[in-house]
Amino acid sequence: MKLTTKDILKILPFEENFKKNLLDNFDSLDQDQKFNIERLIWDTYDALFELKLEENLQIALLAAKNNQEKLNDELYARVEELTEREMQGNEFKLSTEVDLEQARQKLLTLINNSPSKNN
Amino acid sequence: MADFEVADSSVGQGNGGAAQSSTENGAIRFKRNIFINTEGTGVNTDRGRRQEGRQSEWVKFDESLQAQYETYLKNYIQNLQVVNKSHPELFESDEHLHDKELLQMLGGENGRPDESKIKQFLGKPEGWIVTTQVLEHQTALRLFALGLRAVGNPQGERKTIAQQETFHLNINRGILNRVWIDRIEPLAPVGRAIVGAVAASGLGATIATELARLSGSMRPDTAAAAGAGLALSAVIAGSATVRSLMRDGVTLNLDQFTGAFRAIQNNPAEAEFVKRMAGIDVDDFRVVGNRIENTRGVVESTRLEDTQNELLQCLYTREQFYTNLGIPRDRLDRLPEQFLYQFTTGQQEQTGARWQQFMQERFNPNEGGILDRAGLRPMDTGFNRGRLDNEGNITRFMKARSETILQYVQELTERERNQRDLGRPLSTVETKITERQAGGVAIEKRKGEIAKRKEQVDKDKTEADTQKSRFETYRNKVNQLRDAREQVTRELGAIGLTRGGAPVVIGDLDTSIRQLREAYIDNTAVYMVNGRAINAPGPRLTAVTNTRTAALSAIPFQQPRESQEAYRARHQSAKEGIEEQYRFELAALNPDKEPVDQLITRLEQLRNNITTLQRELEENSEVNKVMNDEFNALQDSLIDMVGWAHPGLNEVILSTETIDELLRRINDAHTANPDNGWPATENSNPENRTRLIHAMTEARARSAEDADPVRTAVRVDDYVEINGWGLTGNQLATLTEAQMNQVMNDRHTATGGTEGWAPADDAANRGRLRNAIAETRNMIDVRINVNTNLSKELNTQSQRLQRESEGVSVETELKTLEAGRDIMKRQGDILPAAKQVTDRDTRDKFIDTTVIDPTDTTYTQAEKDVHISRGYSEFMDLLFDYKLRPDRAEYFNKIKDVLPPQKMADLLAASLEIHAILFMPNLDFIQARIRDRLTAHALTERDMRRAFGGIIDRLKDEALAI
Repeated sequence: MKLTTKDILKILPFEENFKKNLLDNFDSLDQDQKFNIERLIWDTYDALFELKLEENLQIALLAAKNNQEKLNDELYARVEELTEREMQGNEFKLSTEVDLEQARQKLLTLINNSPSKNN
Repeated sequence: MADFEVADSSVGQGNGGAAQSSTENGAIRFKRNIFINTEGTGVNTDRGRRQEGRQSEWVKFDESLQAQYETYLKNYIQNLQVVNKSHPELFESDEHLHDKELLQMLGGENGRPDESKIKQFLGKPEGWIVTTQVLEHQTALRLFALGLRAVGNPQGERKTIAQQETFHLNINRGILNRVWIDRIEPLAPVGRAIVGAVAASGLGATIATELARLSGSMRPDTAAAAGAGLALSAVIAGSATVRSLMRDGVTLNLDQFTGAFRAIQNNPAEAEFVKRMAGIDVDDFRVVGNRIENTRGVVESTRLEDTQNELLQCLYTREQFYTNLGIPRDRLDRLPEQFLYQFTTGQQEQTGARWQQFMQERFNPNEGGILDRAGLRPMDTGFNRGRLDNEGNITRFMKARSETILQYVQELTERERNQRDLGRPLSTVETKITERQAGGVAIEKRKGEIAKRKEQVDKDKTEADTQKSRFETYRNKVNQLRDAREQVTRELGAIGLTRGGAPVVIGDLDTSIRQLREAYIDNTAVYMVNGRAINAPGPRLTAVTNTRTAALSAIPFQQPRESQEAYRARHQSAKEGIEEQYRFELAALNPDKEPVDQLITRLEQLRNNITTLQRELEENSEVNKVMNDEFNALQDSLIDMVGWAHPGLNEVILSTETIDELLRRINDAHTANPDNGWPATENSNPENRTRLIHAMTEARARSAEDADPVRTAVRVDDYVEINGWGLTGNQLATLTEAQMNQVMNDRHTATGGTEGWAPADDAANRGRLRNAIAETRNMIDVRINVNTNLSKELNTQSQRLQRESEGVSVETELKTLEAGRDIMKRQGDILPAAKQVTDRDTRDKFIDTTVIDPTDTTYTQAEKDVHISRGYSEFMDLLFDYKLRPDRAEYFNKIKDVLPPQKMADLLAASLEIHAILFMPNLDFIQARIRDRLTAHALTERDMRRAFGGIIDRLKDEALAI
């Protein structure tokens, strides 16, 4: 499934009101705001994904150690698919936190810094 | 409030303005260390302790000062706009480039200042710094244009000059009253309270006394005439500082100052600027001895009184600013220039301001600093502080300030532009595209820049051509002389003169002419010239002439019975018969006479020609002197530059590098040691360009000479030896071989046989002589060739710039800008599409390295023409979505220039950390590594997203950089 930037935004674990506001306003953002926010959203998603993937790999390796998981060259692909499903299912149970507050603050700044306010 | 750090290497700051300031009860405040440098000034700024008490780390500018600065800046920009409308050329001079920048930054539409921009500008520390410097600069300009200098009295710890020449000002009581009221009224009720305080303290009486004194000594019609001394009270109000100054009896003495006046008068651009901006016409005045007089009886300058009024206001406002910065009064002069003419320690006022430091770096030592009239610096032995180069010192100081203002403004503009552009990349790029498509400002600006560069290149070419022509003029004369001598040899050899059947030896030109004249008159033998007999035409001509004369004399006189008419007829008939016989006999002589006549005339012509050329080539002749001077200049310039001992400047580098690169290295040499080279600001100085081209010519010429095996093996040793024996280069170029041989023979005799050679006609010696002659010619030929090549290089460069100016670069820029815009706009599609490269179902097409088949109809001819791989085409389609465009071929041609396969390979290699050891990885290699990693599950969608993000950022940055 091809994910769009808005799809990604929907599954990011931001506070719901903030996320809703951003989604509601996303299409009306000017092109510069959209450009800057797109990159930030994807960077945040990828960072979360890597963390989740790392965590799942640890779990898979532990399972393999206990003979509950096959240790072969398909392991990484399986774990990656699992991670993708979990991400899209909003299953963010990370043992290591990404600094989402920082990402949220940056998004707020980008939204508030409209050209008219800069001029 | 975040702390704010000032970058040491920059005049400005590395941050935006938002965090730099705040307001407090209407006062704007900034971090003090933005303005003041604590090092080496004696003014502690951060929690330091001085007699005024503890210094805050913040400085505050109250509403009153803000209003004064806003008003001043608004009026200043307004004046600039007026002047710019009528005299835009004034803003192209180096002295006013900062004004041009300010106009662009703060000038609004419809010829009015943009007040909101001015407010924003003064919301930044740079705004205050720049405005203060402008205020100081303009105050000094106006004072100096009036031939005045301002000296505060007393000066606290800084001493006053011993002898002041006071100056009679055209200020009447009304004006002083206005000065007072103008300052008080806007400050009501505070100002009125001060007036009250002043009056209550008795100062009102002091002022009244001053006014009375002023009005009593006023001479309205001779305002600028030198005259009785007059001290102006510094009529200022509005703060505790003012009251303090007045309580201390501070006065402002304005003195005549011819040096400053000359600094303005002798700079036409500056004089015109002051005339237009301030209405001060320096032509109203003249310097007579040490005094300045009004040349017109009355002052023509407009509103002179108002100008003087404004000067006082400016001096006052300036003092307020520094007081707010916490600068003690004893560290402050009336104007920063004061130390130039009130020389005590040779030190500027010690404000500790950062801009003062930047000015100091420009003024001293690189720009000369304070010099006396002999050009000595204060630290030099013999420096005469009583005879300062006031005009030069002031000119350099004001130039330093102008450059400092320009640097502040440009850095602020650049920083704000970058911040704005980075935050608004798409809008910025679209604006750039529109400007270029519309043939707008950007294109004109770019063309202007190119035109300026081309103009400099053309000047360099002219210089190279001029140098070449100096050598060519000389060489042409030498060649003409040689040709004339060869012509003589050829013609003499062709004469074939015989006497009595035996050849007559034809010697040099003079001998030949003499021999021909002998053949003309010698009737003792038969001469032959070129096979034709010459039967002594000279004596025969004499005989024929004598016969004619005798026959005419023998015609009988008029007979007694012969009528007058009959006598005339008879005499005429006899005379005609004699003349006919004479002509007949002359005609018979011609075959013998004419060939000799013609030969003699021809040889005399050749002799005259050679004599003229020899004179033109004598040692002290003009053509020889010009050539010699050029030779010396070439060598001196090269020796100078190599002598700077800068690692980036040696003979090899000077013979190989471009002018631009060499200039950069010369500037580096100057930075390393101010005694060497010159700063970048002096690169366009014609003298410096000439020096550089001289050095380049000589370095290239020596390089060519060293590479000439015949020269090094055969000629050069003989040249050096014979030249050392007294045959100059000019003699080697212009004397005949016989003459040169004679010089060597004479030298041999004079030195007792140690130098030169004996008269014997030694073939080996003549061989050495010919080597020396050839080397002399070669030295000139080589330098002409070097200049010819240099001229060609510069001509090529000039043509390239011409083509660039005609639009080539704009087309390229448009490609870069449009590709940058398009890829940014597609970011929202590109980032998710990274998954296509890693998905099993879609990834193969991206790693397909097959070159597109020429018969494949699914591609346009444009794609097939450049022999790209299918994989490259797929990457480009993912990034630009070009395949579905109606203008697919045309669009592909644009984007493939901006992101060609190798550039894509480089960017992917950098992002994905793909390395090759022995070669630069091309796109095929990258695609193969991507395939390997995909197979090994070592490449993720996130990796590709980062790689695509890197490509987007690169094209964005390239577009923004235009």
